[in-house]
Amino acid sequence: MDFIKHVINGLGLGSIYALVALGYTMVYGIVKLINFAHGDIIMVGGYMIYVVMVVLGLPVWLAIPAAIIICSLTGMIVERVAYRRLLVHNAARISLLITAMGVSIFLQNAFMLMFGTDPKSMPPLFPYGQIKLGGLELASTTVINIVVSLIMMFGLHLLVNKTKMGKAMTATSEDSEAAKLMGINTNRIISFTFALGSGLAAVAALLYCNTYPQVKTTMGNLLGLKAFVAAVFGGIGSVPGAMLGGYFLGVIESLTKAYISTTLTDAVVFGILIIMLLVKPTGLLGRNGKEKV
Amino acid sequence: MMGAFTKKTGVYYLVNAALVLLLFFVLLTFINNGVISRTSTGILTLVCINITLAVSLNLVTGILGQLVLGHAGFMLVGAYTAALFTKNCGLDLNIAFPIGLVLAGIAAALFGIVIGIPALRLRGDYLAIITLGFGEIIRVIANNLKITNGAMGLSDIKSLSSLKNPSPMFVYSYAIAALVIFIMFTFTRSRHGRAVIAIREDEIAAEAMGINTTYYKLFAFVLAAFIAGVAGGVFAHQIGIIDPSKFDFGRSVEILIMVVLGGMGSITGSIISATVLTWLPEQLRGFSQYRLLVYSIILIIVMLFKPSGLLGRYEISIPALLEKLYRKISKKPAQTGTGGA
Amino acid sequence: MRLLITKDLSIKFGGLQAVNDLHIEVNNKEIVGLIGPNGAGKTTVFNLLTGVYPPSSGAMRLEGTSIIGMKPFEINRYGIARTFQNIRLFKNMTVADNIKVSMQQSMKYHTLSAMFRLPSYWKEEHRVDTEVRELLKIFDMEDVAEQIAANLPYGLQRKLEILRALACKPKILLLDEPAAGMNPTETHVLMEIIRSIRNRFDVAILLIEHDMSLVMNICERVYVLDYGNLIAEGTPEQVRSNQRVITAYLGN
Repeated sequence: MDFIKHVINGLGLGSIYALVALGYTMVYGIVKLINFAHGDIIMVGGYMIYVVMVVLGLPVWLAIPAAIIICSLTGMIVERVAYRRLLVHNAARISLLITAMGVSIFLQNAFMLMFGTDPKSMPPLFPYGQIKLGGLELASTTVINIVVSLIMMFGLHLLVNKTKMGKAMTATSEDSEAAKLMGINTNRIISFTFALGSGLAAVAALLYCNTYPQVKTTMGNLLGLKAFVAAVFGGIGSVPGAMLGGYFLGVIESLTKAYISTTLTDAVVFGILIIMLLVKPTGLLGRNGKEKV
Repeated sequence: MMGAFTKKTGVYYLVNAALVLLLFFVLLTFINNGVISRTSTGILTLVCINITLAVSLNLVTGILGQLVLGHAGFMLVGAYTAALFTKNCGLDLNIAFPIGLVLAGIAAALFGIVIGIPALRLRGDYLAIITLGFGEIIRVIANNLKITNGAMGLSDIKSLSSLKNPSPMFVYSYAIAALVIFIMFTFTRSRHGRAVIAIREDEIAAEAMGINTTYYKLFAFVLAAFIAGVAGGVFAHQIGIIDPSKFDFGRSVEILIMVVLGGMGSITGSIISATVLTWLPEQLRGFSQYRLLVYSIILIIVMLFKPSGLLGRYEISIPALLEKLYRKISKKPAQTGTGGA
Repeated sequence: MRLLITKDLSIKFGGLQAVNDLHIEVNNKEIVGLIGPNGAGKTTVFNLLTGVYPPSSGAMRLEGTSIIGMKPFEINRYGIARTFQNIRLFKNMTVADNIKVSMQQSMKYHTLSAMFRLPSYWKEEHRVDTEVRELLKIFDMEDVAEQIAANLPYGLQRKLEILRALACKPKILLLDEPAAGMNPTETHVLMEIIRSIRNRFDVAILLIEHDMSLVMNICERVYVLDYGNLIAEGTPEQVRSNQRVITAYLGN
């Protein structure tokens, strides 16, 4: 029974990773960039929720759309200001990576100057309770996480597969040159992808604040790193892979905490990344993307 | 052509060696006479350590073309290895210190191999993220191990320098920096260096021309890790107290920005920017709060408008400058007085 | 004597059979053409021969030794060197250094000799310098030796790519559309170069080409590929009059 409980708690945690991993994987799929600033978008979302709920004293149902809008905008602005020029000029990959790193450091330090280095504690977002499921007692936060992440993923699935925008995204990630020739405005698609990924990051921020009731400026670092591991694990560029990787990583982390060591969980997660890259670098659901010669 | 030994290359080597020695003895005399204060000597030593770090990172990021975001992690490994060795080996510090530095390099290189093999077998950006992860995780581990004394870190690491004899740490750091610069220069102008550069230019073509790309990528990366480990060892003994927070992500970024700003691929560029970026913040203490913010803006702007860094891949050669100057003087002696110096 | 043989060589990409049961042979010092309509799988054959893609099935032998499972750099050292359809020079290196990269395998000095400039370094660098200069002289490129590769005009870039492959001292040279983008005069010069390479360096040449005048002029034998299948082989004259080849190129 305990084991099942740990697994479900892990799924709750993994819901956050999965939503963040989606942002990494979608951006990577479209522009082949590891967007280091993605983790910090979650931080932006966290502070937005803090500002709306604690500073302004408004209810949570206002904080959610505010965070989503601000994060999406931040994502779009980052792409427009920092990446667009390099993407258009087909700059070296390393320049893009360094720029992404620069954006990440900028966001963290700008927020540190605005809000200080101390963590800010958050009020409970939703009423807390224990939910009984057969013999299991689960925290309501865990259940909320899982349900919200599933809803988001279903929505994303519809968006990618059923809408014109989603199809244009798929086309751009397959072959952006060909997509351009077919009349797709790839710049707009890239912009939309950043907005979408950042919007999902805002939801991830919500679930994060729901799970750990505090925000700090460096919260995006380790969270972003783990979500990236999840994305690689599932196969970078693959949307279902990111979800799978996220849940898997959450479960691994929860089980490690329960049965091995609480302090070394991060090291275990990192070990998984190394082993995965050695054994199956394309990830669980990734395609064998050989460079064209 | 470049490869053959000519009289000119011989003269260049001699001039460079003479300049390096001259600078060394001038600084050494000033330090021993007290013209350069103890604090300034400390800064000079840090300058040398940072030059060593920046030049080694430039080998991977500028010359091989792979982003490393956890150079401070290798420093950490080297710093703890050297400090633990000199604290516990029971040997005289004069003997223990150099041995500790070699061990520091080896320990860092071993970590380099462990994370380099999975990341460098693959094409793409895995090294960036895996070194970022390494830098974070190695701190978590150092924070939780008994031998590293957790977040408290290690204190009372003995320095070779003392009130009576203020120079040994400077001597070590200067000699190491000079050696590393020399090796980087000779390495990049050899068959091995050409292989590494070819990989940066076009990995697929390099492999098709018979270059074992995995080997050379790993070699460059592990060499850089080794040097960072040695630099970490010197650093630990220079500042005397280390804890994991001294080797955080901010430190890795600091080294990276020295490389990016000076010019990716330019060793002299790294030397200049490491010197300026070590010395300047010491003068502008009040500015420390904004340092990373400013660094991040510089990183973005440089990447957007001059992605190869300020010097690009250009190397400043003092002998070549002297030669130009000499030609100018000998041909047009009348103009030297009015020429803007 | 047979130098290179492939037997039943096949590769699938997903559901697509890109190359199907390919049999080709190249003899010592022979110039062989590999032609076919766009998308016939010609470059894929090169990628198989140089180890970029592992074949799904079949055999490849160079001088009787199987080269399946070897990495690209191992195959190169074993004696197959290539050029690329879309030029892949080391753009920011000099012309001389581009060629020296190919010679790095033949240079015998240790990393430490390089780092500390020991005599073996100077000796080997000097030897290679002379070799590079001679090679450039043969191809009338000595005056651009110290130029950055990216700054060369297109025709010279193509030529440099061939030189770079030749500097690997291969037994067989694979040229992927060497005349692409060249005008008839340049193509004619290229033909002479290819012939002289074969005669001077005792190397076999397998080339992919769309320029039929070049293929018909210098190839001793020609293989024709269509949708991954070998549809004809023989002398240029035999292939030219083959009905299947005409259909493949022109349609029914």
